[in-house]
Amino acid sequence: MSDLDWVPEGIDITVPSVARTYDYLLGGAHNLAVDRAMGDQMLKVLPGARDLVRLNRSFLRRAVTHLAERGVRQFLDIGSGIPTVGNVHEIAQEVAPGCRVVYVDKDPVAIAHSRLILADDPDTTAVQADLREPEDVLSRPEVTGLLDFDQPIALLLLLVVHFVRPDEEPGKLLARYRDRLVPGSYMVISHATADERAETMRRAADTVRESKSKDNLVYRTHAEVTELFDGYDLVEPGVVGHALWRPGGVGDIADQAEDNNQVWAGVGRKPVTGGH
Amino acid sequence: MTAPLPQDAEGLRARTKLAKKWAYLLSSKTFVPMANAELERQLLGLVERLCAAVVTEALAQRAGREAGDALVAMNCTSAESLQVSVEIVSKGLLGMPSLAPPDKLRERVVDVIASLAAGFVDRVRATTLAQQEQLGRSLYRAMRQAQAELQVSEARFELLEQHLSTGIATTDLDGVLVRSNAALARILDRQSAGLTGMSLFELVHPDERAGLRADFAALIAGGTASISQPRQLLRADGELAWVTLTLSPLRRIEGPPQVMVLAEDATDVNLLQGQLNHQALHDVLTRLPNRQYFTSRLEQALRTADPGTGISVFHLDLDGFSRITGGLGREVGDHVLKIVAGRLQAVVVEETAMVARFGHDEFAILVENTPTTPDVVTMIRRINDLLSVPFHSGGSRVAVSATIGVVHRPPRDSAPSALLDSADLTLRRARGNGRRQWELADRAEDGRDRRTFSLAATMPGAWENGEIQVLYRPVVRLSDERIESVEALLRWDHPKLGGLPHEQCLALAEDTGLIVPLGEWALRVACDQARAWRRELRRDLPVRWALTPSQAADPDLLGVVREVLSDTGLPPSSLRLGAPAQALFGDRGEAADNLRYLAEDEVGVELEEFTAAPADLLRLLEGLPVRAVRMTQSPAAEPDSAVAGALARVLEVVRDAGVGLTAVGVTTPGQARWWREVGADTASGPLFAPAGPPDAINRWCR
Repeated sequence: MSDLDWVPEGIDITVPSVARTYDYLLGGAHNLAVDRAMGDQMLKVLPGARDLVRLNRSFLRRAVTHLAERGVRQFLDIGSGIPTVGNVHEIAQEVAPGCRVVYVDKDPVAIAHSRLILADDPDTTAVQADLREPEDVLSRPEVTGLLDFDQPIALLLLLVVHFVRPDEEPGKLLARYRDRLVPGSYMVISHATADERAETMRRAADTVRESKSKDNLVYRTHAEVTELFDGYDLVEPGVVGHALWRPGGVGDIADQAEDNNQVWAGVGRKPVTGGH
Repeated sequence: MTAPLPQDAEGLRARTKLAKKWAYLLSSKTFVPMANAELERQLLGLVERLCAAVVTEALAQRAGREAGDALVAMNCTSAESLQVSVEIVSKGLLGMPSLAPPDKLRERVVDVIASLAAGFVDRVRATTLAQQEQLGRSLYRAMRQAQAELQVSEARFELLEQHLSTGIATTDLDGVLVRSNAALARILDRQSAGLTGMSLFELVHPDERAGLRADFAALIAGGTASISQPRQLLRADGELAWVTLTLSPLRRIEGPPQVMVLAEDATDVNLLQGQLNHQALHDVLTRLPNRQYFTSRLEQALRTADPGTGISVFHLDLDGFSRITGGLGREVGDHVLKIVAGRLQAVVVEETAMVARFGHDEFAILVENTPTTPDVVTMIRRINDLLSVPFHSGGSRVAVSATIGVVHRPPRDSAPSALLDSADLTLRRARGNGRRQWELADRAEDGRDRRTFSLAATMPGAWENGEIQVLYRPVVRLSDERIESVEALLRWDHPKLGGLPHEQCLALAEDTGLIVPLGEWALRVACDQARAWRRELRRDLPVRWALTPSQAADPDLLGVVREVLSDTGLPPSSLRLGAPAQALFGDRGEAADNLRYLAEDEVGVELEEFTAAPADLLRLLEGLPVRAVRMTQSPAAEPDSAVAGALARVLEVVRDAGVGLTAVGVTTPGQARWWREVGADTASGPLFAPAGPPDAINRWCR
């Protein structure tokens, strides 16, 4: 009965934050001792953790570049975390200036931080909201004000859907987003899996569970992640290890073969005719 | 000052190789936010600068620092990044002898690398501090936001605390009150200020102290969010206050946790309040919700109902209720209303529904439809079927019927008052057609319903315009195929749809309730005609009319028949009324009673749609007052079939009971022969004659 229960999750500096821990593993300094302790614990259990976040960040860069090159000018990044280096708007605007990006995270610190960084960019904004509440996310004035829902939008869900529990029905949840996107829109997912190294990954999940964070990892199989793309046509090469999705160079692939496949990644396109 | 770099191909190759290797090592250790080719390009630039710095001593410091700085800018911030950079760049530069004289090369490379390390550390430190600073500001902003929200919620809580009738207190872990509201003081009959410092354990009945301590212990141990128990509190006036006590842990930023205590007054003040609320929203006589309650529920239902199925509102008015109270007294009237209330509730017992009493003899039903909800027509039929079952009240036999206005699936944005107006108007329209009628507000959306409804709805007008007529069909004696009697049938000559046959006319009329006046009219026309034939043909030609289930159960049937017979002067024995076996054999007393009285009046009662099933036979033998049963020619009972053989034996029972047998729908001579053989007396059907106008019968008889 001594917890700071009134403090919203994410501000309580005694509880590690997923977003800040990710930042730590990525080499950033937007983190607190409690986050670094969680990150170090994770590294003990899963020595490749740094490589995983690095590979995932590379996948994000390749996916966003790919979509911007195909004409997508609007991005909705849910579970965006702490903006550090290689953010979506930087990548997209490098391909096409004027790309508009909305960052969504439920972590109030991550959002406060995003606003600090994005203050001068009229083509970006940040919203504190939860992936699990699509109607809330999609009706926020920041979102409807910046994004044109009559034009294609890329929905980015990087390392976030694996925090959605099975009873929260991720398939139905994502369908509620899909139904609001016009054909020609895209969805990008990266999702941790325990298809390989099941025991190691179980310990990694335990690490998260044993921290006071309210987020718990739910691994999904290749088939389950593929199923999340219901209503989308998968872009080649389909759902693959995050390192193997159109790698561009040596840095995109890890030495450890397992690290390359520890996160399933894919990009889907909402078809113009048919589909859902 | 800058000496040019050696431009030989070999030197360029060596520098490119170094940049590639560097890029590979860095990007496999850390996230570099750019494509591999871009990283190689940038690192080649650094390599060129560093080579130049080895060539030109004065550049060493600046170029080295710039390279260290650039590394951090590329997000290569880790110690590992520095380590691999120092290692690979030192070895690479030392392996380029063309950069400096052999005695100077080592020294120059060390200078450059030392500067690189210094530049790296400076930039890492600056970046880290900047990021921590940013994080601090972000935390502060998020915290301030949360505090603002907290202040709002605290203000809300204080408002509630002051105005709620629920007692609210905060205690420490020993149960000592730290703070309490006015409502708690009122419940305890004490001064608010005096409560602070008292222990909750002193305030609770001695018998309940141990239980309360256990609750506190459970809360402190954690694992439970709150505990609610009925408890008795000691009032200052010596009385007991019955409350529901809810305990909930209250965690704080500073200081030990506390316990939040809610005391909901369960004593008579509350009970009385509840009763008053109940009375304000309910009809005292029937205990049904009143119009006000109904309206608010309606408003809610409009919003929350499944848009796929919507809601239906039935507005009912009891037919001739003033005659009941006028003739039998108010007590009987009140009794009838209570019975009606109960029956209406029974009709919708399986639905999400509310039955309300609106006034004198007006009721309303709100049904939140589901895919399994019966359609409107079925619902109406159930309502009137159940209402028409007679019951005893104050020594009299009473049965009621209702006229009903229906609003089916109104738009979600309808205003409840407009909707009730519409139901009321519809009811009045229905009442214009007589008793036991119903009407549908024409905003119904369902196309199929609308078509059926509109056909039914235009029926009264069509009847008035003479589109509906009574036709006659001979019933012949099987022994000599001479006419024995005449069946009266309806036909609707619809201007667009053509002639709608008897069965369809009855179904539509039965659905809308028009059957009562229409059936009475048909009966009167047929009796008039029979009387005319008696005169013209100088012979008794009985006329028969098949009652529908609701006609058979109509409490007015007996009166209507007597009136028609007396008006037309037709002897009762010249009228034959068919009653549906279903209605007669059911549990419903009304139809059986009606027919018994008719039989006593010497009207010929016949059983329609007799199936010869064992149960039907048994009941028949128990002495129903029927002169004959009518069986329809069934495809399964063609002569020579096994069914026909079995049927023949069964029908002996009918004959042995002295009951006549009539075949309906006979089409072939073979069928006629078979019916004759099994003992049928009479038959009708296409084999003998179709239904036609009265003239056709006159021709038959000549």
